[in-house]
Amino acid sequence: MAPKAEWILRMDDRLVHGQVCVGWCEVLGIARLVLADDQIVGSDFERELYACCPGQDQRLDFMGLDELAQALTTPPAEATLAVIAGPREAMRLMELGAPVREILLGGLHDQPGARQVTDYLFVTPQQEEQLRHLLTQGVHLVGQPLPASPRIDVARLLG
Amino acid sequence: MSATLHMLLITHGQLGAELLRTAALILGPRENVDALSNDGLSREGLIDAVLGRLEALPEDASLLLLVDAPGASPHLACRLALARQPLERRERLHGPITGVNLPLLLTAINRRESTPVEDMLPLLLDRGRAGILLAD
Repeated sequence: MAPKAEWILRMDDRLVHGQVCVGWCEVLGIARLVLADDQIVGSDFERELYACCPGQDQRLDFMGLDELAQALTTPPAEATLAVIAGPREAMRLMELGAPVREILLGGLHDQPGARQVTDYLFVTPQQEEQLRHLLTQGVHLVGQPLPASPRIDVARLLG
Repeated sequence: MSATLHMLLITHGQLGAELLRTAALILGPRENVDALSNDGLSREGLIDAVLGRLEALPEDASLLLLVDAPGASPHLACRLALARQPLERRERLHGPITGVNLPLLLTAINRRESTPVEDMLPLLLDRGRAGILLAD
């Protein structure tokens, strides 16, 4: 059965990679991915680089955050997994008026100054503040690295 | 061919380290063959880790890069790190070859001192692919 034609928004600082293409899209039968990043959309080299990530039956579109914010206002023609790098990008989508209701947090990896929230979520004080801000705006943040992983309420994890 | 073809496996988890450990069981321990894992590293963290390894390469050495899956974060980080290399070092860096498996790795270790790199790259592709059979 084809997956529902809806947006799935994922936050992952590795953007599009094996876990996204194989672990999510191949498992759920999602053929369309969107990588939304203002730097990458303007880089021929990086677009070429990420274009090698999707599997044979998948295709990857590149958007800036403004374009994704606009796209999110209408249901997609097919199930689409859109990836953004982190909480800063999510906040930008909200500023642009995107109707974001839920974001799946798939990976925010360790970096200087970050505290560990789960084995796949590490947040700096700034990122934590941004995530909490998203929560106050009514965004449901769900920790879920893979489709079969339990959905974890990130608000509860942040405390 | 120079005896200083170093090799670096960049993989998910401990795949690279275990491939090297297994190769050492078969061929004996070898120098200048290392593994780097993407475990816990962000996109930039992995790129920085690869950059560190490239910058540590001795000036007279060449390096063959091997990664696990095409399009996965080790592959992408490798490409991004290579793009940031000065021309002088870039000419001594080869690959990455994706899909590293044991047959490919054993061939690379065995042949790196005797085979020019321009001949070895297609040989490794051939040996890696030839190692995948329906052997029933």
